[in-house]
Amino acid sequence: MDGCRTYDIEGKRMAADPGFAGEMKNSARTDFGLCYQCLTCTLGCPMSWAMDYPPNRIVRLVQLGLRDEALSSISIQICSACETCVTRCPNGIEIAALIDSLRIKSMKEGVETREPLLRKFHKSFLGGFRNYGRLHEIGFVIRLKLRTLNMFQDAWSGFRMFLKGKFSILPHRIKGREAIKEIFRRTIESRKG
Amino acid sequence: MKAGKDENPRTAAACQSPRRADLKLAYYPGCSLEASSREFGESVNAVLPAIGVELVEIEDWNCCGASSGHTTDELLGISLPARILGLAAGTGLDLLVPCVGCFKVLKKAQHALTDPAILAKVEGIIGMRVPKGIRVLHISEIFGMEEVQAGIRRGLKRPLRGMTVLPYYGCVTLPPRIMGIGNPENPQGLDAALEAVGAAHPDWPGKIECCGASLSFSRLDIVVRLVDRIAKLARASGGTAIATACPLCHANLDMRQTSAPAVVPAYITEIIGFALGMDEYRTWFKRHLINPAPLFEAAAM
Repeated sequence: MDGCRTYDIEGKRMAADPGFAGEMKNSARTDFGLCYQCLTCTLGCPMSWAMDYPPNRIVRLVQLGLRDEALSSISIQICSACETCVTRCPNGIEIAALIDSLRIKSMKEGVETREPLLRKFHKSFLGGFRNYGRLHEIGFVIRLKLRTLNMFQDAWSGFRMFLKGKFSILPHRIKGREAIKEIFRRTIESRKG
Repeated sequence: MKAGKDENPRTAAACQSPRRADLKLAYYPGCSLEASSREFGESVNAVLPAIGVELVEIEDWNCCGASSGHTTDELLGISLPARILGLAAGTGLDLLVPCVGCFKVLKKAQHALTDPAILAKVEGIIGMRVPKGIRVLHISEIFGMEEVQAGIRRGLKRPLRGMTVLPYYGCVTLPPRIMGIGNPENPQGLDAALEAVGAAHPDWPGKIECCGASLSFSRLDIVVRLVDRIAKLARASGGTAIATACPLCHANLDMRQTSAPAVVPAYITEIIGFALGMDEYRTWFKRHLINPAPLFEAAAM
């Protein structure tokens, strides 16, 4: 990018994308230009200790147009959408909506993320009900295990829960499952290829 | 429709006299209540009719998409709950939702659908009208209603006097502008239910702390730290049990505590069912990894 500003962050030189902030403002429909870095969001965030960029710095990355750094961050994947930040922000910035938009964009553009497990989780979860209408938990967990190849985490507690009759072996198929498939076709699946 | 009737004679016996329902609500159980948190679903179905709340399960409901819906695609995340709202509108009743995850997805979808352009797109996708003004209630909210509290008091057989149960809401009130449940940092619905069953329920700082939700499947380390912190706050507040009203909060507290002594989580409807003298509590409690039965039985003695 010719004539773009660059920034040195965490010892890395990064080029700014001047259009990024505008793009995100349109998709998240919130004015994060109002952020004056009071850090209230980060102080209340239950996940900030596990993030590479806490919420206030995610906002700043977007303002500066540091697209790749924001889209590949761990933060946007592990945000649990509890919305404590949104509740407390003195300027009413919809930080959770911004993070949702970043996460969706990051997946659609196939940006390599520093926290890839969450995408596998969401794919597996959606696959667990796309064809039935209601979530088939065993189907979801098997999909997740195949994607992550992590067969042993929770194998024992999962087995105990199975013995306690918590999981149904067969999926429940709703009558309107065609309508659910149609929702998938007309949203995420229409944009692929 | 099954929810409206007492199929189990013991449940009927627990209710002093068959009364006309004080409140009739449409009911969206959500996927978890039929599977990994069956005991929550079963206790809702047994307890609510016994305290004067008639439930009409909406027909052919679908998964709300949970966090995976709105995280993957904005329109997918709105269309899935919009179909549920469309189905619920047919009943003409307010909609009761026990799962915090489903509740938040439905409330946020309603909010997004106030934009006419999004509404038009979504109605096209789901092939169904989504009328405005359906009132969506989380289960913790109905315990704030006086007639529901009176329903609990009326049937009380095993009051939990001498027991300290901490009400745990998770993120259900946030953000308040959309969720609209009283004081966002100090909600009161579960407190009112615990008051009605006679348990002590002191103020404590963990009420609305995040449990880590579905990160349990990917970043277990995060959930363990959050859950241990909630348990620590609970112990420091003198609590031996925690009342939950969300399958994810409950599963995380039930499965992920690593510090001892574990604080015992139980669904608010299981607790009320126990206090009403329903013997099904044994079946419900047995499905937990931490079985609350010994603690509650000792308190009721």
